[in-house]
Amino acid sequence: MLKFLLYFILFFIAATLQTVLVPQIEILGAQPSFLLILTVIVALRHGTLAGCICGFMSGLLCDVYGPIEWLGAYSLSYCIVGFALGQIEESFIDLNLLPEIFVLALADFFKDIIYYFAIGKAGDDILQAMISLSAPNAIYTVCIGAVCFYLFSPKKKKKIEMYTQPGL
Amino acid sequence: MKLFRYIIKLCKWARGALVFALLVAFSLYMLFIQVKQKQNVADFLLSSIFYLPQSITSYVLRIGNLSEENIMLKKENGKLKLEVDLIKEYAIENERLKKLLLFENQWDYPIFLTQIIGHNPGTYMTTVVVNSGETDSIFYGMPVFTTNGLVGKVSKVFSKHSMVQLLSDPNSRTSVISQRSRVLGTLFSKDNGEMQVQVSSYADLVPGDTLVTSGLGGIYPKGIPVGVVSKLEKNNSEVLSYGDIQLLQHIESLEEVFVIRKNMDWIVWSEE
Repeated sequence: MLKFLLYFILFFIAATLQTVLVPQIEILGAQPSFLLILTVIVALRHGTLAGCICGFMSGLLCDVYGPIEWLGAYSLSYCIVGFALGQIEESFIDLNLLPEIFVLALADFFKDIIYYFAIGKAGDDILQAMISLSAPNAIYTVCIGAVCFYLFSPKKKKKIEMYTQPGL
Repeated sequence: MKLFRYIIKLCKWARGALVFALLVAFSLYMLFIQVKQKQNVADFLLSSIFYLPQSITSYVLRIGNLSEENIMLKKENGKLKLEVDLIKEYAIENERLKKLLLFENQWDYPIFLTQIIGHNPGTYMTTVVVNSGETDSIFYGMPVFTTNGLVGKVSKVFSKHSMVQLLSDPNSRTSVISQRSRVLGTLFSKDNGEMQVQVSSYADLVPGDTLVTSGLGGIYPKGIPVGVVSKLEKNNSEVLSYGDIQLLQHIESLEEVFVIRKNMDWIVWSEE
């Protein structure tokens, strides 16, 4: 219950940062996605259920503030990303900081590809958008995500200890 | 019963997948509904689930805009203050000019309004410069006064400006008459800037009497108010007595003056 409350608060902090801080820290049009970072953290720590719910809520928030004709596109893409990353946790694969950052970058591209498909963009347009929009955003997100992953890392050790207990 | 338990077990095991399927279905539903319905969904979400982040966002943005708004309002306030000051100044000027306009109609001679643009250096004002000269038909010896009273006379004329010798100039002498008793006297200024009137010791002059121009001397027309007797020292053993005069027009607060376009009746003495 406490964990749920903590992530609930984290979601609101990420939502506030996304809507208030992100436009202020924009660099050459590139914006980080705090909501994606939170989705990735939740999915990698708590599995598919938490990942897809958190992803869906994050996507829904992006949809609400985005263009109204594509309502549902972000929630779809974030939800799929959350679910897919949750599979890593459920496969008992434990990632270090660097692989986590790599996963975050992949998640960002993956999320954008799904979004572009959902809004009906064609092949060349997607490639163009990936280079001009997604790549700078992904770099920025990864930079901030690295700091966030570092802050949320201690839990992994506990998990490793649990699986190396004698007699198990 | 067994089947029911099996279904529950399956649900527990695949609850992640089930929730995911539901959420994807809901996302797809939102994606394919009409724009009007999408708008309703968005409005509902903003007023329910996302109400808190929405309020926090608005609050933070409002605070962020406050400093910018503050600077803008300060600028606007300064601009408005300046405008108000200007309007006040115009209102005062308007009142003054209205008074002057009414005053202008009281005289037989044409009257010309001019502005003070300078005065002599030093502690006591003896001369002022006005922004009218020969081109405005201003000539030597023309009387200068305000709505309150006499100021002096034109002492030097240039093409675009003129100098006015004030009553407070120690070299100036003006013939005055008591408005009540019609006693004649001579108005002059002492070296310290104080105005005095010289009258006969037996003349009927008391403090509070108003002095006006007598019309003698050929420069000032008769009846222009000059000042009020504030103090009188009578000495019957002397031929002449002297009284302190408070001028009706404060020399230090001059801004605009009238020049009467009246040539001297005769020339008693001229610098030129």
